[in-house]
Amino acid sequence: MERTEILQKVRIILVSVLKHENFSIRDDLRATDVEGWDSLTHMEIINEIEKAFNCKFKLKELNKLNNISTLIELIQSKI
Amino acid sequence: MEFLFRKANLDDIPFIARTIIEAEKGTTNNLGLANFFELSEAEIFELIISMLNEEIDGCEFSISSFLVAEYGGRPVAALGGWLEGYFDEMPSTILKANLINYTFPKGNLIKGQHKNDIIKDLKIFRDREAYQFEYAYVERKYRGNKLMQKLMDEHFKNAFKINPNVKKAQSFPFANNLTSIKIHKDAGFEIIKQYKSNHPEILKYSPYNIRLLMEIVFK
Repeated sequence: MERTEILQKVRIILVSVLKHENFSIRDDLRATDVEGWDSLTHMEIINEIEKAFNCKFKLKELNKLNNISTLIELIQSKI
Repeated sequence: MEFLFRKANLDDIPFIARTIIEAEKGTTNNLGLANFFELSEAEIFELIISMLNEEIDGCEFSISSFLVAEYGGRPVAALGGWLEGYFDEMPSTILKANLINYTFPKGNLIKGQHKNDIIKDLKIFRDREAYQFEYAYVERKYRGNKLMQKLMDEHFKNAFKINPNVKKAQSFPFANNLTSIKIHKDAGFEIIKQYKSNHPEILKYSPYNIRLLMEIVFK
């Protein structure tokens, strides 16, 4: 799957969980930059990404995801 | 009484789990975390132990965040604290979420997610690079020995060891926890803002409906 396609799918998941589009998806985007991306919505986002890409993240992998770029790289490594 | 102040280690995990539960209850007997995820206190205790055993650094469920006061060879008081965003620039709220998501049963997570609206007004925001305090407990028998103040002092030393340029520390006591507020004020903290929820069900999931942001700025 192309990086842009992954990015687009992640964007759709973020909009669906956070229920707004007040962010522009970019490599250096962090959870703390996005309104409503808190501990509860983060769990939903991760679970939805795992479902959408049919993959499972390890705890240690999740704890290295400090921006969208690292998330996309992790997804790419799993599919 | 002679107390030993030290970093918590893996042997302290049951005491730290008790600390987290007692601190979550605040001045009540109500464990909001259990109600929120529809689990028993015993189940929450075991899940907290599992999270602490993961040894993830940088949040309130990290064993490395805690300092303990020891008396007679066992911990009798504990206080959690960490430098926000220090580990891989990860916010503690995300580290905590990953731990809960990894550890808690999926069905209970969904039950919690459905209650997001109830607690949303009490969600706190921790400043990056500020030293954070969360979860304090002193066994009843050992109260009155200024253990919390001494643990806080040890944390301050720790904060400056990690980052000599640390600018401030933050803590978020509930507004009805007058003892906690006094300890913070005595240490030089000031009340900066308050988070208030008027949701009719909030007291089922939180020890009080007002949470304070208290800060101390280091000169």
